[in-house]
Amino acid sequence: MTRSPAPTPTPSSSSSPSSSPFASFADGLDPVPPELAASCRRLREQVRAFLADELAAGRFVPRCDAWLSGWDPDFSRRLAERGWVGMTIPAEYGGGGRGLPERHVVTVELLAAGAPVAAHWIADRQTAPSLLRFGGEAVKRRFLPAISRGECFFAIGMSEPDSGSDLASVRTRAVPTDGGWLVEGRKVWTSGAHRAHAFFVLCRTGERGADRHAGLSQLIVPLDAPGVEIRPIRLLTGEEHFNEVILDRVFVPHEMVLGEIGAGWHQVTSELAVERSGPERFMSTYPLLVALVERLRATGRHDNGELGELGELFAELLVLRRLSWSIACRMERGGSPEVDAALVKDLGTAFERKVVEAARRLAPAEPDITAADPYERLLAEAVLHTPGFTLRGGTTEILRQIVARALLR
Amino acid sequence: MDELTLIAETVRGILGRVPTDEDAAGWSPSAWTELERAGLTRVGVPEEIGGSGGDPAQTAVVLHAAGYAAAPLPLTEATLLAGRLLARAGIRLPDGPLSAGAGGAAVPAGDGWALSGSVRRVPWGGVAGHVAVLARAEPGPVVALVPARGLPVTPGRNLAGEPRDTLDLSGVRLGGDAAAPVPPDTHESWRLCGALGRVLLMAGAAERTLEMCVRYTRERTQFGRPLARFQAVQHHLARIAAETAALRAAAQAAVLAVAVPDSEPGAGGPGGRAWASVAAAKVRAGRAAGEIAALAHQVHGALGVTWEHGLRRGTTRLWAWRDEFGSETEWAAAIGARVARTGPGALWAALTDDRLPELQEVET
Repeated sequence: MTRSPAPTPTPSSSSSPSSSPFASFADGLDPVPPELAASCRRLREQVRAFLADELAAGRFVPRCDAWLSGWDPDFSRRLAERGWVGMTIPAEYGGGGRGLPERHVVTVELLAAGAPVAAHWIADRQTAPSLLRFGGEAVKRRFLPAISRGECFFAIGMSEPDSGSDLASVRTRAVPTDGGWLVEGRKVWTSGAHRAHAFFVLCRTGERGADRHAGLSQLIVPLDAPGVEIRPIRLLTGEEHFNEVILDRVFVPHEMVLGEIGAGWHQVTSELAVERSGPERFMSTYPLLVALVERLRATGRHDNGELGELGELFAELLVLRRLSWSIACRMERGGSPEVDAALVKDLGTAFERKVVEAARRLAPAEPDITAADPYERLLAEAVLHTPGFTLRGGTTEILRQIVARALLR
Repeated sequence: MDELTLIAETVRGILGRVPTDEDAAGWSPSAWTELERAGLTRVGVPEEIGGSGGDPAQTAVVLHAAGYAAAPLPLTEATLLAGRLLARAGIRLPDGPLSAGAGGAAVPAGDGWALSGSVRRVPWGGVAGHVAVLARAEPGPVVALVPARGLPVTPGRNLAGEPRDTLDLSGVRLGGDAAAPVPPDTHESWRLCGALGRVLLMAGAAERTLEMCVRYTRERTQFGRPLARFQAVQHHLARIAAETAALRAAAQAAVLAVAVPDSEPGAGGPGGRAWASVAAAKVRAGRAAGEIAALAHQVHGALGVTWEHGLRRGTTRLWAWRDEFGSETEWAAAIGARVARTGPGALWAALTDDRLPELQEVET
């Protein structure tokens, strides 16, 4: 850096844009600190080498949306052995003690490979951070080391048959009883509940009163607890990832209350920032994009229009990665960028769909979920999973409301 | 306040204080004078040739602020383009309004150079004191610092009314200290720097446009309530914000990619990380610009399409800048060709690696 050209600044009314939801443009121009860059580089190389070995040994087949559908506890444990599950959990709880940017590097590579990461995904992404932020010592000791070992998997207990986007309207209710709470209600769209070990149940523990967000709490419920019944729901692919979970007077001891009774809404919305801003919100169809490029390369002839469509996808990918990465960096510094997360999910899920349509145009094929040909199979997976992208974790409509509310605040 | 923020505030301060409305010639001489006095028209240009020094991030915040203010000044030209050309040629930066263009031809003549041909669509070419010209020559290109006053000019304008003038170079004779050969990749560097400059200006203009949309939809009442209360309008605002965020991120990623020490933006040619980042940024910015302008006009209704309303200062610039230094179609095809040639893995590696300024050629 050389001589600064800047004289004394002149205050101006236009200097701080009032209605911009963004940090200043200059804030985004900080280079990655050298130590972090070096650590990320090492991690990236290690993960790539690991994935190449796994693929070479035939231990997984790349799939679209594998963070939802690729359930492989052995794979999760192998990742955990290398320290890539629970990376952001402090060492005293058995984790890697690393930062969110480093986790971002690892998850991006796993998603790019279409690796089967579904088993540990939710526990690693949002359960562990919530436990760390809100959980008491007992639940931290009970769950965090097991999550880090890739041995304890979680599901999400938010949506209900009558509460989708309108999450605050949940009807599952917990009433005080001797030594804890009795939970009664139904959760739905609970991905992986039939194979996970536990979930956080968002439920009503008090009256809503004037504030509809009041009186909500999160309870930690093991999925094998007496009174829990799990009914699988088949997806468009015919596979069962979703479930309906019926809670029939399930006993939850006091120590399994997450955070504070009545603080459920605050806790759950802080979970949403990590849930929405990760690379899985734009990389669900990346394995299809890779297969598409390989197929185009095999045919060897492309006009400028085709190349342009391909180039547009990669340009978008670069920008989405950058957006998502910068949110990870901001969360690492203690921010809770819920609006940015909503924005990124809106853009990212639109991209995931765009990849599918581009593939159909550039390399027409009849999609077949049972095909031996990887491209035809990936295309089928992508088409059938596409409607979910813009629904799960907050519909596009809800995300836009969140952004608009922030703009107009 | 850190240095970048200080620079941004200073530019905003000056452009907020000095009238930035175009005069009849399509520019604001007083704004230029103020910025030049503060050293901001030569930011990012090496001190050895009379620049203010500084890295690409400093230039970036100046251009972003200029785009936000719709400043009618050749700032990309003076800093990223002329500044870099002259640095490559080892020619001292002149005082006064400076622009840049690529075109014409140069041949040695005595101790100096003789120019011929013309250079098209030079931003503010008709009012600039000097124009740094990247001219064809044998065996490689030559950079010439041409005194522009008195040159025959064919005026042109971009969609925002910014001058894009064609200058006739025939008969121009320059001494040996006013022109010099430059490396053969200078054309590539020129194009990348120009694209980066337009991306930064677009990022600023997009932010201003978003703010105007928010303000207008709050103030304008229909059916007894502000437009901002209608969900359909709110979703337009959210879309504009999302595209603005994407444009910003594209610009920031490109700046960081060219900020790798000792890496000229053109270094390594197509495939370098700087190349990939700038190309991707121009593609994404161009697409965002179109979306933002269309939606901004939609929420402003008929008022926004009038000359009197300030909205056009952002939207017409977004339309103009997306087509300068290569539209998204051209850059996207170049990226696509790269992906088709090397496979997705190579580009992916380039985009995710924060270390390598260059993408290693992986021909398969």
